[in-house]
Order: sequence, then C-alpha cells, then structure tokens
Amino acid sequence: MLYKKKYLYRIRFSRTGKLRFLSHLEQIETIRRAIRRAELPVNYSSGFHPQMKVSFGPAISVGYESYSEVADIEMGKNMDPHEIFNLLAQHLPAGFSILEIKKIPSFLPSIDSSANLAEYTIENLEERFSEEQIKKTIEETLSQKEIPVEISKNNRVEKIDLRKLIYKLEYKNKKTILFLRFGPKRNIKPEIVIGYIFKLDDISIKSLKICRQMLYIEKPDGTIVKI
Amino acid sequence: MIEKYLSLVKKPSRYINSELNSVKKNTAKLKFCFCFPDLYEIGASNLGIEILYHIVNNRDDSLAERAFCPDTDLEEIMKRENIELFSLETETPLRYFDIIGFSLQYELSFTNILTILDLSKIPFFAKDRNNGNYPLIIAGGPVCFNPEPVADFFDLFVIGEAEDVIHEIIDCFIKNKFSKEPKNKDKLLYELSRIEGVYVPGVHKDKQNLSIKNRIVDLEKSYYPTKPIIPYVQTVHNRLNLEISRGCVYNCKFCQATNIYRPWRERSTETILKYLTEGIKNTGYERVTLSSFSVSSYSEIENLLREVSNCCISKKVSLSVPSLRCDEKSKKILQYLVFQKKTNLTFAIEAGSQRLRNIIGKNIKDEDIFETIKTAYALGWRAIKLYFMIGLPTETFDDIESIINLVNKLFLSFPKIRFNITISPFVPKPHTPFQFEKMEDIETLIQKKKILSKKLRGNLKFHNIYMSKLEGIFSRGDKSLSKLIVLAWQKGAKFDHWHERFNYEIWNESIKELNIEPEIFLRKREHSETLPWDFIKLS
Repeated sequence: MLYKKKYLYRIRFSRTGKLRFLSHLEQIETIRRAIRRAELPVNYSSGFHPQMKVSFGPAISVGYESYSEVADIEMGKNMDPHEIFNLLAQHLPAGFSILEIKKIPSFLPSIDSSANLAEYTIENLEERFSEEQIKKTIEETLSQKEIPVEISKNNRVEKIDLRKLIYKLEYKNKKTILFLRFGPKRNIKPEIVIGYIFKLDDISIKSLKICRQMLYIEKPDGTIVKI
Repeated sequence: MIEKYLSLVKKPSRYINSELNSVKKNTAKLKFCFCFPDLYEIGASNLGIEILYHIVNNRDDSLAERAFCPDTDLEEIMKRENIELFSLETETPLRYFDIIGFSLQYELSFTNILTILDLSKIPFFAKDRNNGNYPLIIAGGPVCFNPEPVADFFDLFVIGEAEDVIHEIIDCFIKNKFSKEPKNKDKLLYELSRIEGVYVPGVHKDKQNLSIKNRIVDLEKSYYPTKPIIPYVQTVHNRLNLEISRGCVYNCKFCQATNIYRPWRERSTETILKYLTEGIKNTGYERVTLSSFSVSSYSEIENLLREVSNCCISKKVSLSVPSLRCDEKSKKILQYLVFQKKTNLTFAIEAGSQRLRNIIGKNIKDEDIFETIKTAYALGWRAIKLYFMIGLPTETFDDIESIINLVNKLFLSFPKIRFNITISPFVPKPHTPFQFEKMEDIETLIQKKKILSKKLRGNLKFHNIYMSKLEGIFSRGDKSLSKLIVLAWQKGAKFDHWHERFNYEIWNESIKELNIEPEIFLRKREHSETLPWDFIKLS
C-alpha cells in the first residue's frame, strides 16, 4: 500500500434563504457532489466502496439558517486555501457561501467530536412578546439553579436539566441569543429550549427564525474558542 | 409566498426551487409546465420529463418549468390560505402557463391529476375549459396507449416517444398564439390534431375510422440531457441515469413496454461514453446506472462495460444496472459491476414453472437461473431480488407450487445469499398479446397469496392485490371511468400508488355508487371485439 499524503482543510460555510430547508443528510450529499464537480484532489478510502474523506460538523435542523456549517476535507495535495476557494465556490449552489478555509493539523479530532457549544440567534419572538417581557423571561430563566424538564425522544422520555445546557442567554439588537451546550446524550434543539422557556405552542415554535451563528469548543475551565 | 409555510411541512426541500441545473428563464413566447402527478421524489426521477424539460428550454422561443403534486400537509395549507399550485422555478401559478404537460406513468396516479388541477383552479373536464384563458392540458407517457379513462380531462395526448413531436406541438401553438386571427381553441385543437402521434379527444370523435400511430425517435440523434437537474431530496433514483438503449429484443407476452417501445435501438458506445463523462462532470453523482429494458442485449455489451467501468473506476463512481435476465450474457456483465456487490442484484423470473414461462414468452430455464446466480455468488453478491407474477393466463396451483419449489431449491443451493422476493398480480395490458385475457379474480389471487406467504422462504413482498385490481380496471378501461376518478377523488382518494395511503374502500364505494361493473373491464375479451384502444396503431 502506497503511503497516502494527507492535508486537512477546514471549510466553514453558510446556508441561507431557501437552502435552510435542507436536511443535514441532503446538505451533506449536496456538498459532496460540489466537491466532486470541483474535482478537488480529495482522498478516498480504499476497498470496493471508495468513500470520500470528508467529515461534517454537527447536524443542523431543517429550517435553520447557519453561518457555522463545517466540512473537514482530506486532500492528497498541498493546496493554497485560496485555490480551494476558487475551485469550490463556483460549484456550490446559490444559498451556500464559503466563509473561511483554513489548513488544520491532520491529527486534529473531528469537528463532530470536539465542538460542544453552539451560538444561535432567534428572531420572531417579538411577534408575541414585548422586549420587556422577553428580557424579563430571560432574567428569570438565568436566575434558576436548575430547570428539570422531560423531553420525549424516539418514544422515550428523558429527564434533562435545561439550565445546565444554557451557557449564555441574552437579548441584544432585537435578537435573542442563545449559547447552547450539546454533545452525546444532551442534544436538544434550541427551538425546544426557547419553546419551553417562553411556553410556546408547536406552531409558534415552527415560526421562529433560528440561525446557528457559530460553533465553539468549551474547555473544562469554562473558556470558549471558535472552531 | 410559500416560503413561510415550509417550516410546517414534511420534507420542505421538495418545494424549494434552486436545484442545480434547473433552468430559470424570465420570459418566452411559450410557457410550458411539466407535471408529474405524484410526490417530488418520484417525479424528479422521471427521465421523460427530464429530457423534455431541457428540449423545451433549449428553444429560444420557449421556457419549461416543473410542478409536482404537493403532499397532503402542504395541500391542506394551500387550500386554507388560498394559495394556488405553483411551478418550482419561478413560483408561477400553473394557470398562467400556455401548456401543462402531464407524464402518465401508472394508472394509480390519476387522482393526483385532479389534485393538481384543483389546486390550480383549473376545471377537470376539457369541455369546461373552452371559455376562459386556461392552459392547454396535455399528457404523454405509457398510460396514454389507452388514454380513454382520462380522455375527458385532457385536450391532447402524445402517443409514443415525445422528443420530436413536442417541437411540432410547440411550433403549432406559437403560430396560433401569435396569429392575427381571433383566438379560437377549436381551431388550435384541430390544427394540433393533424400532427402525427397526437390524439385530440375533442376532435378525434369518430373512433371507427381513426388511426393514430405512436411516434418513434432516432435514439442516436435524439437529445439526451447531460446536465440533469440534481434534486436535494433523496429521490427514488438519485444517480446519473444513462439510457443505453430503448425497446426490447424479447417478446414477453405480458409486457407492455416491449410492445410500445419497438423497435430495439441502441446508442453507440462512443455517444454513451461522451454522455457519461459529461454527466459525471456536470452532476458530481457518485453512482451511475445504465438504463435499458435488457442491458445484456446491447450488441457490444462487453466492450461498452469495459469502457464504462474503466471510466467509473477512475472517477470513483459506482456502476449499476437495472434488473438482469438470467442468461449467458448477464454472467459476463456481472464482473464489471464490482462496486454494486453490496447492493441488490435483481432478476425477473416471472413464473415458477417452465410450462408457464414458455407460455408467457419468458423462455429462461431453471438451469439458466441457477447458473446466473451461481456466477453472482462466486463474484461476491449476497443479496438477490427475484420478481414473480401470479394470476398469469393458464396458471394453476401447480404453477404456484413451482414458484415455491424453485425458491426453496435456490435457498438450499445458496444458503449464504439473502433472497428478497417480490410478487405482483398480473394485470393484462393494452397492446400486448395478453390484452384479451381475463384478469384473475381477486379471491383466487388472495388464495394464491396465502399459499405463497405460508410456504415461501425469504423476505417476501406482495403487491397490494386491490391496487392491482384497480390497475386492471383502468388499464383496459374506457371513457365511462372518468366519473369514477372524480367521485373517488371527491371522497378523498389520493396517492393511490402508495401502499400506506391507498384506500380501496373509497374506490369500492364509488364503484357501487356509480353502478360500475368492474367485470366489464377485467373479463376475457373476444378477438372480434372492438377494444377502447384499437384506434392507436403500433408503428
């Protein structure tokens, strides 16, 4: 077996407008096909079913816009990030934009296993509440030591402390900003959190305009770094 | 307009319009909307619409857009909010197009035609569309080889392959639309009715002296899309589709496709390779399928597969083929499909006994079946799908036992292969040697199904017998059935092609209410009888 050269690149991109209705899987397929069309020198796994060596960030919900979609691409050739940008950008469907491409060390753990905090902005709460009400509800929420809730997932009811998942919650520039922790066994959609805090019905929850702004790694000491 | 409701429905990516390689033109002399009367994920895989869509858009004077039947959740919202059905590309209500072209691939999509017209505020019956500026509602596809059950809904049917005739229809329409003479639908329909391969129910009333020949194209010269639209939704196909041939070299007596797509035509290897390279480049698809009714009949199949396979390996694309015939040539094909090993390999056996296979014109032998599967096993396949039919003409319970014996023998011979077996009731189809045969009655079919379910090993899948019965009624039906479609639709029938949505009670109730006698359509026909589709003459 020949030694395969490995160069790892992290691409952060946005999805806006109608493309927010793609499911995570549909988005992955779309990006993979764009990479193939761009003919980037991506590495493939060996065997009968060669798989493109690209790993994607944490799943995004249908309906959410995002400025924090991530694809880590392993290439067999050392390339200038600008060059990658030029090749890939023209093959992405309108609605996806590349925000950042950086070379990362090839030993870096996958984005999916390292990111554990997401920043969301939530709009449309103003349709039901005054700014004062929103601020007051946020204040009340943060003052609580724990918020035990029961959430049904795959026909199972799980007990979870919502308060522990909230890293930060604030109201700024007419937007509710939520920093939500996530990880194995604590994946709660932001709409569930907001819906619970503001006591919203299903239709109101679905009409919230939610955008995932950024992904972070929260370290054990509480400091956070952008991915 | 629709965007704010998309958060409320399942699979909203069905309704967004920015798929790669879709075409957005702002204006043209003629606006065509192609409709597939089923969900997006079924319709967007249809090769016919894909071809015609690009043919129309390649004309400077015309534009083509697409629309599909919305799922019931969106339909409900559209009705409540008074939103009309729109085209995907520019969100234009269907009413504002010049021509709406339906692709009719199976009878059980009929009610969805009505849903689409209803959501577009277009009257169902062609006779109610004479006044008012309605689009021309036309149809094409295999179901149109007996158009009578839906003839009252449509202004025009294309019989046969549409790649050439669509130009003639558009030319005629544009000439008429921009002529200085006063607009007159009757005149337009009359002119359209003079085009070969076109059936206009409102003009062609005298069936006795009518002869409409199906259109056939020159496959090699005919347009093929190498920049197909790439759906976001996982469609039933979801891969690059390369049509290598059209028609079939065999004469299976039950098969409508064999008869209506005659003669067998091949694309040259050179052309196929060109389309393959362009197609992969333009789509980024990771899978390619060679589409043909009989891949192994392609005259230089080994050469073709060697070339295609080399190209696929270098581009890291996997190659697959549709169902294979159990024969010597197929065994040679298998070695080129290495990437497909983990997926299913499909063989259509059709009948269990040699006697019955000979009668239906599928003359493969048990040895062929065993030999082919042996080769597949040796090359690494572990999942094999087998198709059988029940209710074939002259079939007895001995023939059912033969299916059981054959499958059991296969199980014993290949214990490591996982067999998936699909069984469908035989439906007599127009323009086939079996068009005169009686469709097996439902009680016998149920009895045969019971025996098979009890004795057959493997993962068994049965086609819904009541769905087949309805298919049987429509496939040899006549004009009296349009009111049945309307009544069943009014009572809530929709998406009848979907097992979990099909509701036979609604149909049964409607059939009784209208005093329709299903036997009239399911019975044996005399060769001296005039059949509703006799006016369509196969070229």
